[in-house]
Amino acid sequence: MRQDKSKRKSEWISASDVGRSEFCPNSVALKYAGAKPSRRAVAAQDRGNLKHEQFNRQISTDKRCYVASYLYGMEDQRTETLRQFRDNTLDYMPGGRILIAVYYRLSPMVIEISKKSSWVDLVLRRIVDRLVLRAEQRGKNHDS
Amino acid sequence: MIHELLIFIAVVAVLFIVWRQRRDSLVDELGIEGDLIWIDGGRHTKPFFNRAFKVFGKPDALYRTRTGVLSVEYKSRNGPVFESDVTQAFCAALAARGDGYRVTEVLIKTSAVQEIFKLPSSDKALFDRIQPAVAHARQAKFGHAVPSRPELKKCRSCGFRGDCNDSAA
Repeated sequence: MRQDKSKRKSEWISASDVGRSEFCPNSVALKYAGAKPSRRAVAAQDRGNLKHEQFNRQISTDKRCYVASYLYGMEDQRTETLRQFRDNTLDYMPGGRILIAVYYRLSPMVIEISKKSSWVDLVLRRIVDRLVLRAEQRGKNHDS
Repeated sequence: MIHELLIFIAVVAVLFIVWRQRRDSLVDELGIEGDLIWIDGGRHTKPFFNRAFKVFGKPDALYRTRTGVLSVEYKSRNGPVFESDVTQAFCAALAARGDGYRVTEVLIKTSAVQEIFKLPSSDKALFDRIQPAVAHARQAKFGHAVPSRPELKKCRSCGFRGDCNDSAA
């Protein structure tokens, strides 16, 4: 039974492997056979990752200006918690999308004010900290 | 009665403003008119899983547009969009559909160009489009024999060419 389960799991295939297989199936076979990519390929991959990060930052901050990203950083776990709350809970609530739209409209202005005023920054941080806490509790309740 | 009318007018006005803002909003530098609803935040962001087809993956971003959900695949290199980019993007879109995002279009952007592809509406038809590549990838994963596609340009850019007996480079 355990063997069946592990076999089922291993049938999962990633989109990047599927893309690579279109490029050349043998390159996927070599990867799974344990071949190590060349140094040049690893360096190119690192450069690609960096450009991806820049691209993501650009599209997410140009127009989105997430308050959480501003307060905690894009990669922070608290930012991720709020993103999940937005996508998995708020987005499905009645009026949730309007709330999200209003939030996106207001957040650049809120961030600008917060940058200029330390007490607004402090209040904002407290409010968002509390929101993170609630979102985490909600996530835990949902999991259990 | 007048109060109720005023409240009704106020509600309609607020809805109209929100609608106008949404309509005019977010034509970003990709030329996408829509709301950014998901972004790949790096290695901490979990991929999407499609249990029906056993594929997983992450697009770089998802936007909600007027026609549905648009998935963005970014390639940092210069040059055109290759078939392998399209296949990867379609597979990531299928994975996102498995987690409830009805992806209807895919935008693939390189540093030089960007192209938009419309997706089939059914998941099965989308899977059929990428099925040969999925089958080859699974065979390769299980250690079965798979074909190689040696071409000078491809092999030069392949990180495994040192271990490949069929390399054209």
